[in-house]
Amino acid sequence: VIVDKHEDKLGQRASNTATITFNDIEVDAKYLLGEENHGLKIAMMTLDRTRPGVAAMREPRSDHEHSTPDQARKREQLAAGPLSASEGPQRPALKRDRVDQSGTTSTPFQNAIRFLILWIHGYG
Amino acid sequence: LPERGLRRAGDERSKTMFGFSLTDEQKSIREMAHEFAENEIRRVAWEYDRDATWPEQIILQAHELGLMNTHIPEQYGGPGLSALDGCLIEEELAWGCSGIATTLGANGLAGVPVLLAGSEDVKREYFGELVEAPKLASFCLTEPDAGSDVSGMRTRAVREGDRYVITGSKSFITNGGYADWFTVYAETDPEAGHPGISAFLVPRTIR
Repeated sequence: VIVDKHEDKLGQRASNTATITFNDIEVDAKYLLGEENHGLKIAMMTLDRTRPGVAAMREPRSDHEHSTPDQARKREQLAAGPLSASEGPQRPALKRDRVDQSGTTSTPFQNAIRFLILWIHGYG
Repeated sequence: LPERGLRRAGDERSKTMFGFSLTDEQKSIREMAHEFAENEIRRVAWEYDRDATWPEQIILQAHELGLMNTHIPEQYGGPGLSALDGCLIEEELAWGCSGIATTLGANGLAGVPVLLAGSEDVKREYFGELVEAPKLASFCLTEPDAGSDVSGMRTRAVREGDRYVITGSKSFITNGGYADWFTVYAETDPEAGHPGISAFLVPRTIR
């Protein structure tokens, strides 16, 4: 198993993202998950169970302050003028910054709908 | 397959016909995750993001507190929390830093295929590893030329006796550089496209 490349990303930079290469890797048949040729079904069932968490990551609770330190700092810097070279790599403004500055909130009603969807799918 | 439906339908919920309120246990889980995000993640998030620092210390602490591997059932040593509990934790940690939260949560993505379809032996061994030490696992589906369109998958798994030989590349793998095992999707029947894909657990130490 070879780790080829660590991505230099625009965001979520504290998370490692890499290219992984398998060159004639031999694994025992006990490591086959489920039946042969059932992989896509397993992948889709996995996403069913894990994507709601990703949605939860995007929407902070309505009683939280909404900007991350990262965004707050960027706003301060925008107010103070252009970044100096010593401030680290300059990155293009991301679409999400604009979304966040609009102050997305989730109301108790939206929360209720989210929980209802989870409940219907048997996630509770 | 794991049991479905509300696992924590306690008094608080059953008194009302349809309650969305969290149980006391869920509230305390959320509070713990929030405190962790505030004290350990949020205050370093800007520097970690700017410098692309690997959050090793935060992983150690989160593992110690039980904020990782929440989906692993109790019989394999995990806390066996529900998916909603997991969402509450992810919501709080991502408030601290979405990148660090992604790193802390990725074991869930890699672990679910094993939970759904792995044999008892494989579950005991590999879930046991994750619970005992702050180890990481990665989910390997996307490929350089196929994106998430898995029908274009080029990774192959060929059966030879009681072994499979896996060849191919996977891209944009979260925690890929640090993972101890991988959940890998590969074509066992390349002619068939979607229905020819199989899932494997691949330990990193295998050469």
